[in-house]
Amino acid sequence: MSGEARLGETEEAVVALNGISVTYPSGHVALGDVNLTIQRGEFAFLVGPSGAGKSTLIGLLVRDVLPTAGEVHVAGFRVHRLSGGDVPKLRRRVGVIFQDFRLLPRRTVRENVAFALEVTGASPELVASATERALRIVGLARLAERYPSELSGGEQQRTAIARAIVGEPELLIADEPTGNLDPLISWEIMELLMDINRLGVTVLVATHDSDIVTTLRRRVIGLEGGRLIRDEANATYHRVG
Amino acid sequence: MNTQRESKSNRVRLIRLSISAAANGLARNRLATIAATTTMTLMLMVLASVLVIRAGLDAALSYADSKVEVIAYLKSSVTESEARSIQVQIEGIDGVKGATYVSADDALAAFKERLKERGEPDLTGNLGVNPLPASYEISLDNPADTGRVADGLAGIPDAASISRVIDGRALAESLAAITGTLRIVGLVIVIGFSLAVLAVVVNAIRLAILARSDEIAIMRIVGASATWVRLPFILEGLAIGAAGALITLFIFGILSASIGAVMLNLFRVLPVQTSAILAGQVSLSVIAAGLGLGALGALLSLRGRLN
Repeated sequence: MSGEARLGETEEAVVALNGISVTYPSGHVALGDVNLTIQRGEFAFLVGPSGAGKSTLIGLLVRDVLPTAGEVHVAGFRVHRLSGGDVPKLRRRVGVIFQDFRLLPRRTVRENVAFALEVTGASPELVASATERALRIVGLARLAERYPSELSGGEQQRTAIARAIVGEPELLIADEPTGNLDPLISWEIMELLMDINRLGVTVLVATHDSDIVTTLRRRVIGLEGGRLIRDEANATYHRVG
Repeated sequence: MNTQRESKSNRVRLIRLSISAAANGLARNRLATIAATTTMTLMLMVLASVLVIRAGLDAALSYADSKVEVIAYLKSSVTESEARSIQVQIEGIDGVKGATYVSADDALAAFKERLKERGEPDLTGNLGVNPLPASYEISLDNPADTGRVADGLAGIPDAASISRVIDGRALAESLAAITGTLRIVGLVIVIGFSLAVLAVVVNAIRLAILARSDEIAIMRIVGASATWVRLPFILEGLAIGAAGALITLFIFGILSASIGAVMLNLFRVLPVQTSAILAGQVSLSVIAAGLGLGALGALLSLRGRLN
């Protein structure tokens, strides 16, 4: 990796957004002057109503979206200046899971997880050992040969999480990870995300689930109308007072 | 060194993965694959035909060029001694290198020989007399001077003994004009077919991209490089091109004997020893065009996608 692409001064910050604005060609301002830092090892919630800019912010972190102003630093990459060829390197350092799991239906659990490493050119030995480890972490080792259609929603999300962490990313982004799951399973998934956080992975969870946010009392980053309206430690879903 | 070896084996692994992804893709979109391969084959057949016909025309043209000369046919009333004095007059014309006398008997013998070569029946025996005139084949210092020499023939004292003058240059020029036109027509046909092939290949690869859009999205999320996301589709394009080229060469291989016969009949002059070189050139062109169009079609269908 080139020295140009990585930065040293914010070594401990896995995410640093400085004066970020995203304005779409239509003139719609998706994000306006957002400043945000997430330190290594943190666990944070990203909350806000639909259209608040959560998806745009996540898009910025994996360079699906480019800022119209400001700087984006993620996992040591200057994302706003990243060349197209370096984008995959960034994405290997950032795991992402979605509400709809996005698993490959014709591949088994093990193959879905291994696929993420295979396409980066990792050796078969590394793919096998990392896949085993990821499956163990999410508790799916015994279901490794099943196909996604044979799994419950929670198991499918666990598979997606295993895929997101198989490359040992610095940052795990969960975009509404419990949106399709019942409350009990949702808690299991949140506990799994906290376990992964305890392993040293920085975790950012975008969610509408007020029960989970309020119960867990973690850092809460609130967006509304494209603005950062709150950033509080040990907070609840709704602002108090 | 170790890293180099590792990255090389990574590359080999990824190429293997891409090949199996491409093979799966082609099998999954069987109908589009067959349509694209068939169109590709048709186009390559047209290309090969145009190349073979062009080679024949070129051979005919260079043969005509090498034979450029002026022929002066003598009237049948001209006696052999008169003919000798005409030879001196012809050789006195500025720009003439030499003049060879071809008697009426020589002309008939040559005609019979040509009939035999073509495998046509010799009916000249049925004629009571030799209908062919004696002639002078006039070679020139400069092949461009045919017009001037032909004019000079009209000015010699025994010009009245000459029945007809054939200007070889005019023949070569009209052949060159026909060849030029055919070349342009061939080019237009090949370009037209190439565009059609591109459209079909682009369509086939787009279907493959659509069928695998989930997989592609996941590859992008997990950080597969653009090259590896694209490679299976480029391989699919190449495979369609290679299949079309092989089918075309197979068909041309089967037909090569009959094509050779047709060419010999059409142009008479296609030298046998060049046909191996020609076959090599046609094969190379067909393979290059197939692979090129396949890859180009894939790249066009990938353009603006998968970023």
